Amino acid sequence: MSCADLMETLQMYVDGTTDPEESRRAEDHLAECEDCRHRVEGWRRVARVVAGLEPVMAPEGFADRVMESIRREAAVPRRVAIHDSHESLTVSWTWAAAAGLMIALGLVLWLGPEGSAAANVARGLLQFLASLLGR
Amino acid sequence: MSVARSWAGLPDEKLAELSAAGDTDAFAELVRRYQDRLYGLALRLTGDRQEAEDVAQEAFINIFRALGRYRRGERFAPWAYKITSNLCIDHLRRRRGQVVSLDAPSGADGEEDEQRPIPDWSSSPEKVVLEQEGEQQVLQAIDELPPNYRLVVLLRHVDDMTYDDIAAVTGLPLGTVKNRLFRAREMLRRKLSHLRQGTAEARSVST
Repeated sequence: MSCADLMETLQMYVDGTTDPEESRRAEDHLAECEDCRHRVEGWRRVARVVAGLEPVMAPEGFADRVMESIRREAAVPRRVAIHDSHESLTVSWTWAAAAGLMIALGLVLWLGPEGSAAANVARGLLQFLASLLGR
Repeated sequence: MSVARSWAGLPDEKLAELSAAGDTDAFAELVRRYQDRLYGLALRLTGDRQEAEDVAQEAFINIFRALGRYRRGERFAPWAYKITSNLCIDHLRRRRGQVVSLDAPSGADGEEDEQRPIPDWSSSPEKVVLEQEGEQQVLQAIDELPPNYRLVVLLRHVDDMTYDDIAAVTGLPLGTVKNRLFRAREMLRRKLSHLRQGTAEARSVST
């Protein structure tokens, strides 16, 4: 088996996630391939130096500052804001629909033959809508 | 502190559920448990302490806001890391309005190298200068990796995550995670081949 074929197995071997059969295959290959021995040693070295970096600590007072923001946010009743915007959206759609309907009925009245059934219905509906909006 | 005592022994997942139900004290315990890890990830990805603090703070606020979508039984750590690392990558994308490739080596041309700030990841200024010398080389080498490669290396070696967890954090298929880790390790192996004994490596071996 070539080095390229074993690259994933070798990486898993370094990470300690190979099963016994894969470990044996990795070890057999390493015993006879100097390039891969260097590579695996290099990876282990990388793992050691990265894991060995000085641990990082959050700055003094960091958690308090985070919680101050969180508590401020938690205190705001978010549902009210969402409800308000939803309601105003619903109201504006109602107005738009009413205006659209009135324009359509106006067109029927204007273009339709005088005294026709369609014109009479449109006139009746328009008077009804106007009385609703006028309230 | 009484808060720390009362939550001790409760798993992160239980604290997340309590937090989702509006218990801000439970969330304060999660912040306490994760502040060093998530700030550390932000610092190592951005290379700047002030930016890391801003990003980590924003990450915790985003985590809190996203708790409504947290699924019962889901592991908290990869979920929180995912939110944090996404935010870091977004910050790197937006940084100074530059178009920064997240997959290409950032130190490819010398010009860009000169503009980049020297990463300051140190949290203990009293450290011995000799120790810093080796550590700075390691930090510099990691900092020169493309951010998406830096992320998998940090998750694997600093946070000791499994391939599956890294896949969960990055949203990448397992095969892509292994491939990125392989390429990142190869880049680091070449960059650090000259590193002397008596530096960060020696310290890590001795601990």
